[in-house]
Amino acid sequence: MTIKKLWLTAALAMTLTACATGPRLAPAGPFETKAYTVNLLSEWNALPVRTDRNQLATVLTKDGPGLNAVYLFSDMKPGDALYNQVSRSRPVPKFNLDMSDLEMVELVTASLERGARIKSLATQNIRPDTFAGNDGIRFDMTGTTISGLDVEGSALLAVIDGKFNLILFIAPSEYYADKYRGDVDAIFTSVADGTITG
Amino acid sequence: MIKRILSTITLAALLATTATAQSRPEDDSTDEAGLWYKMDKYEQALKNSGAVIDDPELNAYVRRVTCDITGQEACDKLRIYIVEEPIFNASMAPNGMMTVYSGLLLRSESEAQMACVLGHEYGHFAEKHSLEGWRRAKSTSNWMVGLQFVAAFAGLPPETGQAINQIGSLLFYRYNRGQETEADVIGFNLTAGADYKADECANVWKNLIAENENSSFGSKRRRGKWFNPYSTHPLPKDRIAELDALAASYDSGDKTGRETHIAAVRPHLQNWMKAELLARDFNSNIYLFQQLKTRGFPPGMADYFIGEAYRLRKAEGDRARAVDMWKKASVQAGAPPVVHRALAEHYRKAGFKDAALSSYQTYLAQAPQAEDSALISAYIDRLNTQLGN
Repeated sequence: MTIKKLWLTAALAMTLTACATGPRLAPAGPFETKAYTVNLLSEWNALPVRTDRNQLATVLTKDGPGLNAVYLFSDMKPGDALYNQVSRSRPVPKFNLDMSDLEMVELVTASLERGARIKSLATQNIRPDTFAGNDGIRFDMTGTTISGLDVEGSALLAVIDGKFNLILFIAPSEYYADKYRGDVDAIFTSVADGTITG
Repeated sequence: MIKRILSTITLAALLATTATAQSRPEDDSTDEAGLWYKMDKYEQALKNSGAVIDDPELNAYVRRVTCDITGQEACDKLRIYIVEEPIFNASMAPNGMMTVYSGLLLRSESEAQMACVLGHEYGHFAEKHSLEGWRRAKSTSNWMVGLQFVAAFAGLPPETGQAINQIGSLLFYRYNRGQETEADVIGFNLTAGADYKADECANVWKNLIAENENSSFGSKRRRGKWFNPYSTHPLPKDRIAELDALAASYDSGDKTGRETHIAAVRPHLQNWMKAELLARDFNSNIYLFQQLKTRGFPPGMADYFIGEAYRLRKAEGDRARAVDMWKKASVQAGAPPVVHRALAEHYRKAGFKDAALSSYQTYLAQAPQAEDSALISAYIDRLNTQLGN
Protein backbone atom coordinates (compact mmCIF):
# COMPACT_ATOMS: atom_id res chain seq x y z
CA MET A 1 0.00 0.00 0.00
CA THR A 2 2.65 2.49 0.99
CA ILE A 3 4.94 1.56 -1.90
CA LYS A 4 1.94 1.91 -4.20
CA LYS A 5 1.37 5.33 -2.67
CA LEU A 6 4.96 6.34 -3.23
CA TRP A 7 4.66 5.50 -6.92
CA LEU A 8 1.35 7.30 -7.07
CA THR A 9 2.88 10.32 -5.40
CA ALA A 10 5.69 10.43 -7.90
CA ALA A 11 3.25 9.99 -10.77
CA LEU A 12 0.91 12.69 -9.53
CA ALA A 13 3.71 15.09 -8.78
CA MET A 14 4.74 14.73 -12.38
CA THR A 15 1.29 15.38 -13.78
CA LEU A 16 1.81 19.10 -13.61
CA THR A 17 5.29 18.97 -15.02
CA ALA A 18 5.20 16.24 -17.62
CA CYS A 19 6.19 17.45 -21.03
CA ALA A 20 4.16 16.69 -24.08
CA THR A 21 7.05 17.68 -26.32
CA GLY A 22 10.48 19.11 -25.65
CA PRO A 23 11.19 22.50 -24.14
CA ARG A 24 11.93 25.56 -26.22
CA LEU A 25 13.36 28.95 -25.45
CA ALA A 26 10.89 31.80 -25.05
CA PRO A 27 12.74 35.04 -25.72
CA ALA A 28 12.08 38.27 -23.86
CA GLY A 29 8.96 39.97 -25.12
CA PRO A 30 5.39 38.88 -25.74
CA PHE A 31 4.58 35.18 -25.22
CA GLU A 32 1.23 34.07 -26.56
CA THR A 33 -1.06 31.42 -25.17
CA LYS A 34 -4.34 30.41 -26.78
CA ALA A 35 -6.22 33.13 -24.97
CA TYR A 36 -3.85 35.77 -23.70
CA THR A 37 -0.35 37.19 -24.02
CA VAL A 38 2.18 37.61 -21.25
CA ASN A 39 5.19 39.83 -21.44
CA LEU A 40 8.54 38.28 -20.54
CA LEU A 41 11.25 40.56 -19.22
CA SER A 42 13.90 37.98 -20.00
CA GLU A 43 14.37 34.63 -21.66
CA TRP A 44 12.51 31.64 -20.17
CA ASN A 45 12.28 27.96 -20.98
CA ALA A 46 8.79 27.08 -22.19
CA LEU A 47 7.56 23.51 -21.72
CA PRO A 48 4.22 22.26 -22.98
CA VAL A 49 2.23 20.51 -20.25
CA ARG A 50 -0.35 17.89 -21.05
CA THR A 51 -3.40 18.46 -18.91
CA ASP A 52 -6.80 16.84 -18.70
CA ARG A 53 -8.29 15.77 -22.05
CA ASN A 54 -4.91 16.42 -23.69
CA GLN A 55 -5.29 20.15 -23.57
CA LEU A 56 -1.90 21.72 -23.60
CA ALA A 57 -0.85 24.31 -21.09
CA THR A 58 2.61 25.81 -20.84
CA VAL A 59 5.04 26.04 -17.99
CA LEU A 60 7.67 28.76 -18.05
CA THR A 61 10.75 28.04 -15.99
CA LYS A 62 14.25 29.35 -15.48
CA ASP A 63 15.84 26.56 -13.47
CA GLY A 64 13.40 23.67 -13.98
CA PRO A 65 9.72 23.30 -13.02
CA GLY A 66 10.62 22.01 -9.57
CA LEU A 67 12.49 25.21 -8.77
CA ASN A 68 10.44 27.91 -10.44
CA ALA A 69 7.39 27.44 -12.58
CA VAL A 70 4.84 29.77 -14.07
CA TYR A 71 1.98 27.66 -15.41
CA LEU A 72 -0.12 29.25 -18.12
CA PHE A 73 -3.50 27.59 -18.49
CA SER A 74 -5.68 29.16 -21.12
CA ASP A 75 -8.97 28.71 -22.87
CA MET A 76 -10.16 25.86 -20.66
CA LYS A 77 -13.70 24.75 -21.39
CA PRO A 78 -16.33 23.66 -18.87
CA GLY A 79 -15.47 20.11 -17.82
CA ASP A 80 -11.72 20.61 -18.25
CA ALA A 81 -9.35 19.97 -15.37
CA LEU A 82 -5.90 21.20 -14.44
CA TYR A 83 -4.43 17.70 -14.33
CA ASN A 84 -5.12 14.26 -15.69
CA GLN A 85 -7.56 11.87 -14.12
CA VAL A 86 -5.73 8.57 -13.61
CA SER A 87 -8.75 6.41 -12.78
CA ARG A 88 -12.52 6.57 -12.48
CA SER A 89 -12.29 6.30 -8.74
CA ARG A 90 -9.98 9.31 -8.54
CA PRO A 91 -12.05 12.08 -10.11
CA VAL A 92 -10.40 15.45 -10.52
CA PRO A 93 -11.85 18.92 -9.86
CA LYS A 94 -13.23 20.38 -13.07
CA PHE A 95 -14.08 23.84 -14.27
CA ASN A 96 -17.77 24.70 -14.50
CA LEU A 97 -19.38 27.84 -15.76
CA ASP A 98 -21.52 28.28 -12.67
CA MET A 99 -18.49 28.43 -10.37
CA SER A 100 -18.19 31.42 -8.09
CA ASP A 101 -14.89 33.25 -7.65
CA LEU A 102 -14.15 31.27 -4.51
CA GLU A 103 -15.01 27.99 -6.22
CA MET A 104 -12.45 28.80 -8.90
CA VAL A 105 -9.88 29.43 -6.19
CA GLU A 106 -10.91 26.05 -4.77
CA LEU A 107 -10.43 24.47 -8.21
CA VAL A 108 -6.80 25.59 -8.14
CA THR A 109 -6.06 24.69 -4.52
CA ALA A 110 -7.82 21.32 -4.65
CA SER A 111 -5.89 20.46 -7.82
CA LEU A 112 -2.61 21.33 -6.11
CA GLU A 113 -3.52 19.42 -2.97
CA ARG A 114 -4.79 16.34 -4.75
CA GLY A 115 -2.85 16.39 -7.99
CA ALA A 116 0.53 17.74 -6.89
CA ARG A 117 0.20 16.51 -3.29
CA ILE A 118 0.94 19.89 -1.73
CA LYS A 119 0.30 19.60 1.99
CA SER A 120 -0.85 22.27 4.43
CA LEU A 121 -1.80 24.45 1.51
CA ALA A 122 -2.98 27.85 2.72
CA THR A 123 -4.24 30.71 0.62
CA GLN A 124 -3.55 34.32 1.50
CA ASN A 125 -4.90 37.63 0.38
CA ILE A 126 -7.58 36.48 -2.05
CA ARG A 127 -8.46 39.69 -3.80
CA PRO A 128 -10.11 41.12 -6.89
CA ASP A 129 -7.78 41.87 -9.77
CA THR A 130 -7.96 42.17 -13.51
CA PHE A 131 -7.06 39.64 -16.16
CA ALA A 132 -6.58 41.14 -19.60
CA GLY A 133 -9.02 43.86 -18.72
CA ASN A 134 -11.60 41.45 -17.29
CA ASP A 135 -12.57 40.87 -13.68
CA GLY A 136 -10.22 38.36 -12.16
CA ILE A 137 -9.12 36.94 -8.84
CA ARG A 138 -5.62 36.89 -7.47
CA PHE A 139 -4.27 35.12 -4.42
CA ASP A 140 -1.07 33.92 -2.81
CA MET A 141 -0.31 30.49 -1.41
CA THR A 142 2.05 28.63 0.86
CA GLY A 143 2.38 24.90 1.35
CA THR A 144 4.75 21.98 1.68
CA THR A 145 5.48 19.30 -0.87
CA ILE A 146 5.17 15.67 0.07
CA SER A 147 8.97 15.54 0.22
CA GLY A 148 9.01 18.32 2.80
CA LEU A 149 9.93 21.31 0.68
CA ASP A 150 8.20 24.54 1.66
CA VAL A 151 6.77 26.21 -1.43
CA GLU A 152 4.93 29.41 -2.14
CA GLY A 153 3.23 30.97 -5.09
CA SER A 154 0.59 33.17 -6.58
CA ALA A 155 -2.31 32.70 -8.93
CA LEU A 156 -4.34 34.98 -11.17
CA LEU A 157 -7.47 33.61 -12.77
CA ALA A 158 -10.50 34.71 -14.70
CA VAL A 159 -13.31 33.40 -16.82
CA ILE A 160 -13.33 35.16 -20.16
CA ASP A 161 -15.95 34.36 -22.79
CA GLY A 162 -16.90 31.23 -20.88
CA LYS A 163 -13.31 29.91 -20.78
CA PHE A 164 -11.14 29.49 -17.72
CA ASN A 165 -7.71 31.13 -17.71
CA LEU A 166 -5.08 30.82 -15.03
CA ILE A 167 -1.54 31.90 -14.34
CA LEU A 168 0.03 29.98 -11.50
CA PHE A 169 3.48 30.60 -10.07
CA ILE A 170 4.98 28.11 -7.68
CA ALA A 171 8.52 27.80 -6.32
CA PRO A 172 10.39 26.66 -3.19
CA SER A 173 10.16 29.34 -0.51
CA GLU A 174 13.87 29.22 0.15
CA TYR A 175 15.82 31.24 -2.41
CA TYR A 176 13.89 30.30 -5.57
CA ALA A 177 10.58 32.04 -4.85
CA ASP A 178 12.40 35.38 -4.78
CA LYS A 179 15.13 34.62 -7.29
CA TYR A 180 13.18 35.89 -10.30
CA ARG A 181 10.52 37.81 -8.40
CA GLY A 182 10.75 40.80 -10.75
CA ASP A 183 10.32 38.62 -13.82
CA VAL A 184 7.38 36.77 -12.31
CA ASP A 185 5.69 39.96 -11.15
CA ALA A 186 6.12 41.36 -14.65
CA ILE A 187 4.33 38.31 -16.12
CA PHE A 188 1.42 38.74 -13.73
CA THR A 189 1.26 42.49 -14.29
CA SER A 190 1.36 42.08 -18.05
CA VAL A 191 -1.65 39.78 -17.89
CA ALA A 192 -3.54 41.92 -15.45
CA ASP A 193 -3.15 44.88 -17.78
CA GLY A 194 -2.99 42.95 -21.03
CA THR A 195 -5.35 42.10 -23.80
CA ILE A 196 -6.99 38.94 -25.02
CA THR A 197 -5.30 37.45 -28.05
CA GLY A 198 -7.71 34.74 -29.05
CA MET B 1 9.08 -11.38 -14.47
CA ILE B 2 9.21 -13.56 -11.36
CA LYS B 3 11.68 -11.17 -9.84
CA ARG B 4 9.37 -8.25 -10.56
CA ILE B 5 6.35 -9.96 -9.02
CA LEU B 6 8.32 -10.97 -5.97
CA SER B 7 9.91 -7.60 -5.65
CA THR B 8 6.48 -5.96 -5.71
CA ILE B 9 5.10 -8.45 -3.23
CA THR B 10 8.09 -8.08 -0.94
CA LEU B 11 8.11 -4.32 -0.89
CA ALA B 12 4.37 -4.21 -0.37
CA ALA B 13 4.75 -6.63 2.48
CA LEU B 14 7.44 -4.49 4.04
CA LEU B 15 5.55 -1.25 4.12
CA ALA B 16 1.90 -1.95 3.59
CA THR B 17 1.79 -4.74 6.00
CA THR B 18 4.08 -4.07 8.84
CA ALA B 19 7.02 -4.72 11.07
CA THR B 20 9.88 -6.72 12.35
CA ALA B 21 12.44 -7.00 15.08
CA GLN B 22 12.13 -5.25 18.39
CA SER B 23 15.82 -4.50 18.80
CA ARG B 24 18.24 -3.21 16.20
CA PRO B 25 20.24 -6.15 14.78
CA GLU B 26 23.87 -6.11 15.85
CA ASP B 27 25.19 -7.88 12.75
CA ASP B 28 24.94 -5.53 9.76
CA SER B 29 25.34 -8.37 7.29
CA THR B 30 21.99 -10.00 8.09
CA ASP B 31 18.82 -9.67 6.05
CA GLU B 32 17.16 -8.21 9.13
CA ALA B 33 19.77 -5.43 9.29
CA GLY B 34 19.07 -4.78 5.63
CA LEU B 35 15.39 -4.32 6.39
CA TRP B 36 16.19 -1.91 9.20
CA TYR B 37 18.44 0.07 6.90
CA LYS B 38 15.75 0.38 4.25
CA MET B 39 13.16 1.44 6.81
CA ASP B 40 15.55 3.91 8.46
CA LYS B 41 15.89 5.65 5.11
CA TYR B 42 12.14 5.61 4.60
CA GLU B 43 11.62 7.01 8.09
CA GLN B 44 14.03 9.86 7.41
CA ALA B 45 12.08 10.74 4.26
CA LEU B 46 8.80 10.58 6.16
CA LYS B 47 10.15 12.86 8.91
CA ASN B 48 11.16 15.44 6.34
CA SER B 49 7.88 15.25 4.47
CA GLY B 50 5.19 17.83 4.77
CA ALA B 51 2.69 15.15 5.69
CA VAL B 52 3.64 14.61 9.34
CA ILE B 53 1.38 16.32 11.89
CA ASP B 54 3.54 17.62 14.69
CA ASP B 55 0.82 18.83 17.06
CA PRO B 56 2.31 17.80 20.44
CA GLU B 57 -1.05 17.18 22.12
CA LEU B 58 -2.31 14.89 19.38
CA ASN B 59 0.99 13.03 19.31
CA ALA B 60 0.94 12.67 23.09
CA TYR B 61 -2.60 11.29 22.89
CA VAL B 62 -1.80 8.64 20.28
CA ARG B 63 1.38 7.66 22.10
CA ARG B 64 -0.44 7.41 25.43
CA VAL B 65 -3.05 5.03 23.99
CA THR B 66 -0.35 3.00 22.23
CA CYS B 67 1.72 2.72 25.40
CA ASP B 68 -1.35 1.79 27.44
CA ILE B 69 -1.85 -1.31 25.31
CA THR B 70 1.75 -2.31 24.60
CA GLY B 71 3.28 -1.47 27.96
CA GLN B 72 5.90 1.20 28.47
CA GLU B 73 8.99 -0.87 27.75
CA ALA B 74 7.75 -2.01 24.35
CA CYS B 75 6.32 1.40 23.60
CA ASP B 76 9.69 3.06 24.18
CA LYS B 77 10.96 1.24 21.09
CA LEU B 78 8.27 2.75 18.88
CA ARG B 79 8.42 6.02 17.00
CA ILE B 80 4.94 7.16 16.07
CA TYR B 81 4.22 9.50 13.16
CA ILE B 82 0.77 10.93 12.52
CA VAL B 83 0.41 11.56 8.83
CA GLU B 84 -2.14 13.88 7.27
CA GLU B 85 -3.85 11.53 4.85
CA PRO B 86 -7.62 11.18 4.61
CA ILE B 87 -7.72 7.40 4.49
CA PHE B 88 -8.33 4.66 7.03
CA ASN B 89 -4.87 3.21 7.53
CA ALA B 90 -1.93 2.65 9.82
CA SER B 91 1.30 0.82 9.21
CA MET B 92 4.36 -0.33 11.03
CA ALA B 93 7.89 -0.69 9.72
CA PRO B 94 10.39 -3.29 10.92
CA ASN B 95 12.53 -0.68 12.68
CA GLY B 96 9.79 0.45 15.09
CA MET B 97 8.33 3.26 12.96
CA MET B 98 4.56 3.37 13.35
CA THR B 99 2.59 5.50 10.93
CA VAL B 100 -0.94 6.54 11.85
CA TYR B 101 -3.09 8.23 9.23
CA SER B 102 -5.36 11.13 10.12
CA GLY B 103 -8.19 9.28 8.34
CA LEU B 104 -7.92 6.50 10.91
CA LEU B 105 -8.17 8.97 13.80
CA LEU B 106 -11.17 10.66 12.21
CA ARG B 107 -12.96 7.36 11.63
CA SER B 108 -12.25 5.80 15.01
CA GLU B 109 -15.15 6.35 17.38
CA SER B 110 -13.06 5.97 20.49
CA GLU B 111 -9.70 5.29 22.07
CA ALA B 112 -10.70 1.63 22.10
CA GLN B 113 -11.21 1.46 18.33
CA MET B 114 -7.97 3.25 17.64
CA ALA B 115 -6.22 0.94 20.12
CA CYS B 116 -7.46 -2.14 18.21
CA VAL B 117 -5.84 -0.95 14.99
CA LEU B 118 -2.63 0.21 16.64
CA GLY B 119 -2.50 -3.04 18.62
CA HIS B 120 -2.86 -4.93 15.35
CA GLU B 121 0.07 -3.01 13.91
CA TYR B 122 2.12 -3.59 17.03
CA GLY B 123 1.29 -7.28 16.67
CA HIS B 124 3.11 -7.37 13.34
CA PHE B 125 6.08 -5.70 14.97
CA ALA B 126 6.14 -8.00 17.97
CA GLU B 127 5.91 -11.11 15.81
CA LYS B 128 8.47 -9.88 13.27
CA HIS B 129 6.01 -10.43 10.47
CA SER B 130 7.88 -8.27 7.98
CA LEU B 131 11.08 -10.20 8.43
CA GLU B 132 9.18 -13.44 8.03
CA GLY B 133 7.44 -12.03 4.98
CA TRP B 134 10.75 -10.92 3.51
CA ARG B 135 12.29 -14.34 4.01
CA ARG B 136 9.18 -16.03 2.71
CA ALA B 137 9.24 -13.89 -0.42
CA LYS B 138 12.89 -14.76 -1.03
CA SER B 139 12.40 -18.49 -0.53
CA THR B 140 9.28 -18.43 -2.69
CA SER B 141 11.23 -16.64 -5.37
CA ASN B 142 13.99 -19.24 -5.18
CA TRP B 143 11.78 -22.28 -5.54
CA MET B 144 9.74 -20.63 -8.26
CA VAL B 145 12.88 -19.98 -10.30
CA GLY B 146 14.08 -23.52 -9.65
CA LEU B 147 10.79 -25.06 -10.71
CA GLN B 148 10.68 -22.92 -13.81
CA PHE B 149 14.13 -24.14 -14.83
CA VAL B 150 13.05 -27.71 -14.27
CA ALA B 151 9.89 -27.11 -16.30
CA ALA B 152 11.90 -25.54 -19.12
CA PHE B 153 14.46 -28.39 -19.21
CA ALA B 154 11.64 -30.91 -19.13
CA GLY B 155 10.24 -29.28 -22.25
CA LEU B 156 7.00 -28.28 -20.59
CA PRO B 157 5.04 -25.49 -22.30
CA PRO B 158 5.62 -21.82 -21.23
CA GLU B 159 2.22 -21.83 -19.54
CA THR B 160 3.74 -24.09 -16.90
CA GLY B 161 6.12 -21.32 -15.88
CA GLN B 162 3.24 -18.89 -15.63
CA ALA B 163 1.30 -21.37 -13.52
CA ILE B 164 4.28 -21.67 -11.17
CA ASN B 165 4.30 -17.89 -10.87
CA GLN B 166 0.63 -17.84 -10.00
CA ILE B 167 0.93 -20.59 -7.43
CA GLY B 168 3.87 -18.84 -5.77
CA SER B 169 1.96 -15.57 -5.59
CA LEU B 170 -1.19 -17.21 -4.25
CA LEU B 171 0.78 -19.00 -1.55
CA PHE B 172 2.46 -15.75 -0.57
CA TYR B 173 -0.83 -13.89 -0.27
CA ARG B 174 -2.36 -16.70 1.76
CA TYR B 175 0.63 -16.51 4.09
CA ASN B 176 0.16 -12.75 4.35
CA ARG B 177 -3.51 -13.14 5.26
CA GLY B 178 -2.48 -15.55 7.99
CA GLN B 179 -0.21 -12.90 9.46
CA GLU B 180 -3.04 -10.38 9.37
CA THR B 181 -5.33 -12.72 11.27
CA GLU B 182 -2.62 -13.30 13.83
CA ALA B 183 -2.14 -9.54 14.21
CA ASP B 184 -5.91 -9.09 14.64
CA VAL B 185 -5.84 -11.47 17.58
CA ILE B 186 -2.84 -9.70 19.10
CA GLY B 187 -4.53 -6.32 18.63
CA PHE B 188 -7.66 -7.63 20.29
CA ASN B 189 -5.78 -9.11 23.23
CA LEU B 190 -3.77 -5.95 23.81
CA THR B 191 -6.89 -3.78 23.63
CA ALA B 192 -9.05 -5.96 25.83
CA GLY B 193 -6.12 -6.51 28.17
CA ALA B 194 -5.95 -2.76 28.74
CA ASP B 195 -9.57 -2.86 29.96
CA TYR B 196 -11.04 -1.41 26.79
CA LYS B 197 -14.46 -2.67 25.76
CA ALA B 198 -13.71 -5.77 23.72
CA ASP B 199 -16.42 -5.50 21.08
CA GLU B 200 -15.03 -2.18 19.87
CA CYS B 201 -12.51 -4.05 17.68
CA ALA B 202 -15.21 -5.55 15.48
CA ASN B 203 -16.95 -2.17 15.31
CA VAL B 204 -13.91 -0.72 13.50
CA TRP B 205 -14.60 -3.02 10.56
CA LYS B 206 -18.38 -2.68 10.75
CA ASN B 207 -18.01 1.09 10.41
CA LEU B 208 -15.58 0.77 7.53
CA ILE B 209 -17.86 -1.62 5.64
CA ALA B 210 -20.79 0.77 6.11
CA GLU B 211 -18.75 3.69 4.82
CA ASN B 212 -17.54 1.74 1.79
CA GLU B 213 -21.08 0.62 1.00
CA ASN B 214 -22.03 4.29 0.78
CA SER B 215 -19.22 5.16 -1.62
CA SER B 216 -19.81 6.94 -4.90
CA PHE B 217 -17.43 4.48 -6.54
CA GLY B 218 -18.41 0.95 -7.52
CA SER B 219 -14.88 -0.32 -6.91
CA LYS B 220 -15.02 0.85 -3.31
CA ARG B 221 -18.55 -0.49 -2.76
CA ARG B 222 -17.39 -3.92 -3.94
CA ARG B 223 -14.18 -3.81 -1.92
CA GLY B 224 -13.79 -6.70 0.49
CA LYS B 225 -17.13 -8.26 -0.36
CA TRP B 226 -15.84 -11.38 -2.06
CA PHE B 227 -12.84 -13.53 -1.45
CA ASN B 228 -9.86 -12.53 -3.57
CA PRO B 229 -6.95 -14.97 -3.48
CA TYR B 230 -4.57 -12.08 -4.21
CA SER B 231 -5.75 -10.01 -1.26
CA THR B 232 -3.20 -9.21 1.43
CA HIS B 233 -5.88 -9.00 4.12
CA PRO B 234 -8.76 -11.28 5.16
CA LEU B 235 -12.28 -10.23 4.23
CA PRO B 236 -13.65 -7.61 6.64
CA LYS B 237 -16.69 -9.79 7.37
CA ASP B 238 -14.39 -12.65 8.38
CA ARG B 239 -12.42 -10.31 10.62
CA ILE B 240 -15.65 -9.11 12.21
CA ALA B 241 -16.80 -12.68 12.86
CA GLU B 242 -13.48 -13.55 14.44
CA LEU B 243 -13.30 -10.41 16.57
CA ASP B 244 -16.92 -10.78 17.66
CA ALA B 245 -16.23 -14.35 18.70
CA LEU B 246 -13.18 -13.22 20.66
CA ALA B 247 -15.19 -10.47 22.35
CA ALA B 248 -17.94 -12.92 23.30
CA SER B 249 -15.39 -15.11 25.02
CA TYR B 250 -13.68 -12.30 26.89
CA ASP B 251 -14.84 -10.70 30.09
CA SER B 252 -13.51 -7.29 29.16
CA GLY B 253 -13.73 -3.89 30.76
CA ASP B 254 -16.15 -1.25 29.54
CA LYS B 255 -13.70 1.57 28.88
CA THR B 256 -14.15 3.17 25.46
CA GLY B 257 -12.50 6.57 25.78
CA ARG B 258 -14.99 8.24 23.44
CA GLU B 259 -14.81 11.68 25.02
CA THR B 260 -11.03 11.78 25.15
CA HIS B 261 -10.83 10.66 21.54
CA ILE B 262 -13.23 13.35 20.39
CA ALA B 263 -11.35 15.95 22.42
CA ALA B 264 -8.05 14.90 20.80
CA VAL B 265 -9.42 14.98 17.27
CA ARG B 266 -11.56 18.10 17.68
CA PRO B 267 -8.81 20.71 17.01
CA HIS B 268 -8.08 19.07 13.66
CA LEU B 269 -11.66 18.31 12.71
CA GLN B 270 -12.16 21.13 10.22
CA ASN B 271 -8.90 20.47 8.36
CA TRP B 272 -9.46 16.73 8.23
CA MET B 273 -13.06 16.98 7.08
CA LYS B 274 -11.99 19.42 4.38
CA ALA B 275 -9.25 17.00 3.31
CA GLU B 276 -11.81 14.17 3.06
CA LEU B 277 -13.63 16.13 0.36
CA LEU B 278 -10.53 16.12 -1.87
CA ALA B 279 -11.09 12.48 -2.78
CA ARG B 280 -14.46 13.55 -4.22
CA ASP B 281 -16.21 10.45 -2.86
CA PHE B 282 -19.12 12.62 -1.81
CA ASN B 283 -21.62 9.89 -0.94
CA SER B 284 -19.06 8.38 1.38
CA ASN B 285 -18.26 11.84 2.76
CA ILE B 286 -21.91 12.53 3.54
CA TYR B 287 -22.23 9.20 5.33
CA LEU B 288 -19.04 9.73 7.34
CA PHE B 289 -19.92 13.31 8.31
CA GLN B 290 -23.38 12.21 9.46
CA GLN B 291 -21.70 9.56 11.58
CA LEU B 292 -19.33 12.12 13.08
CA LYS B 293 -22.32 14.16 14.17
CA THR B 294 -23.90 11.21 15.95
CA ARG B 295 -20.56 10.43 17.60
CA GLY B 296 -20.50 13.73 19.43
CA PHE B 297 -18.56 16.05 17.16
CA PRO B 298 -20.03 19.57 16.88
CA PRO B 299 -23.19 19.40 14.75
CA GLY B 300 -22.52 22.83 13.23
CA MET B 301 -19.23 21.61 11.81
CA ALA B 302 -20.67 18.31 10.57
CA ASP B 303 -23.67 19.93 8.91
CA TYR B 304 -21.50 22.56 7.22
CA PHE B 305 -19.36 19.87 5.63
CA ILE B 306 -22.37 17.76 4.65
CA GLY B 307 -23.54 20.88 2.84
CA GLU B 308 -20.12 21.19 1.22
CA ALA B 309 -20.31 17.60 0.00
CA TYR B 310 -23.70 18.34 -1.59
CA ARG B 311 -22.35 21.53 -3.18
CA LEU B 312 -19.46 19.64 -4.75
CA ARG B 313 -21.50 16.56 -5.72
CA LYS B 314 -23.81 18.66 -7.90
CA ALA B 315 -26.50 15.97 -8.26
CA GLU B 316 -30.05 17.08 -8.92
CA GLY B 317 -31.42 18.86 -5.86
CA ASP B 318 -28.00 19.08 -4.20
CA ARG B 319 -27.90 22.88 -4.24
CA ALA B 320 -31.08 23.02 -2.14
CA ARG B 321 -29.78 20.26 0.13
CA ALA B 322 -26.53 22.15 0.63
CA VAL B 323 -28.33 25.35 1.53
CA ASP B 324 -30.55 23.48 4.01
CA MET B 325 -27.50 22.00 5.70
CA TRP B 326 -25.69 25.35 5.87
CA LYS B 327 -28.77 27.04 7.35
CA LYS B 328 -29.02 24.27 9.93
CA ALA B 329 -25.31 24.47 10.66
CA SER B 330 -25.29 28.24 11.04
CA VAL B 331 -27.43 28.09 14.18
CA GLN B 332 -25.73 25.09 15.75
CA ALA B 333 -22.72 24.71 17.99
CA GLY B 334 -19.33 24.45 16.38
CA ALA B 335 -20.22 25.92 12.99
CA PRO B 336 -17.16 27.41 11.31
CA PRO B 337 -17.44 31.06 10.18
CA VAL B 338 -17.24 29.95 6.53
CA VAL B 339 -20.79 28.62 6.78
CA HIS B 340 -21.94 32.25 6.57
CA ARG B 341 -19.80 32.77 3.50
CA ALA B 342 -21.33 29.68 1.92
CA LEU B 343 -24.82 31.02 2.60
CA ALA B 344 -23.83 34.47 1.33
CA GLU B 345 -22.53 32.99 -1.92
CA HIS B 346 -25.82 31.17 -2.38
CA TYR B 347 -27.90 34.28 -1.65
CA ARG B 348 -25.80 36.40 -4.00
CA LYS B 349 -26.18 33.85 -6.81
CA ALA B 350 -29.92 33.63 -6.17
CA GLY B 351 -30.28 37.42 -6.21
CA PHE B 352 -31.13 37.82 -2.51
CA LYS B 353 -28.90 40.83 -2.03
CA ASP B 354 -29.97 41.79 1.50
CA ALA B 355 -29.46 38.26 2.77
CA ALA B 356 -26.13 38.01 0.93
CA LEU B 357 -24.92 41.27 2.44
CA SER B 358 -25.93 40.24 5.92
CA SER B 359 -24.25 36.82 5.65
CA TYR B 360 -21.03 38.26 4.22
CA GLN B 361 -20.96 40.78 7.09
CA THR B 362 -21.50 38.01 9.64
CA TYR B 363 -18.70 36.01 8.07
CA LEU B 364 -16.24 38.89 8.24
CA ALA B 365 -17.33 39.76 11.76
CA GLN B 366 -16.56 36.19 12.83
CA ALA B 367 -13.39 35.88 10.75
CA PRO B 368 -11.93 39.37 10.36
CA GLN B 369 -8.51 37.97 9.44
CA ALA B 370 -9.91 35.62 6.79
CA GLU B 371 -7.67 35.07 3.78
CA ASP B 372 -10.44 36.28 1.49
CA SER B 373 -11.38 39.39 3.48
CA ALA B 374 -10.32 41.70 0.63
CA LEU B 375 -12.55 39.88 -1.83
CA ILE B 376 -15.48 39.68 0.57
CA SER B 377 -15.11 43.37 1.41
CA ALA B 378 -15.31 44.12 -2.31
CA TYR B 379 -18.52 42.06 -2.53
CA ILE B 380 -19.94 43.95 0.46
CA ASP B 381 -19.09 47.30 -1.14
CA ARG B 382 -20.72 46.21 -4.39
CA LEU B 383 -23.86 44.96 -2.64
CA ASN B 384 -24.10 48.16 -0.61
CA THR B 385 -23.92 50.17 -3.82
CA GLN B 386 -26.53 47.99 -5.51
CA LEU B 387 -28.83 48.28 -2.50
CA GLY B 388 -28.34 52.06 -2.36
CA ASN B 389 -26.94 51.89 1.20
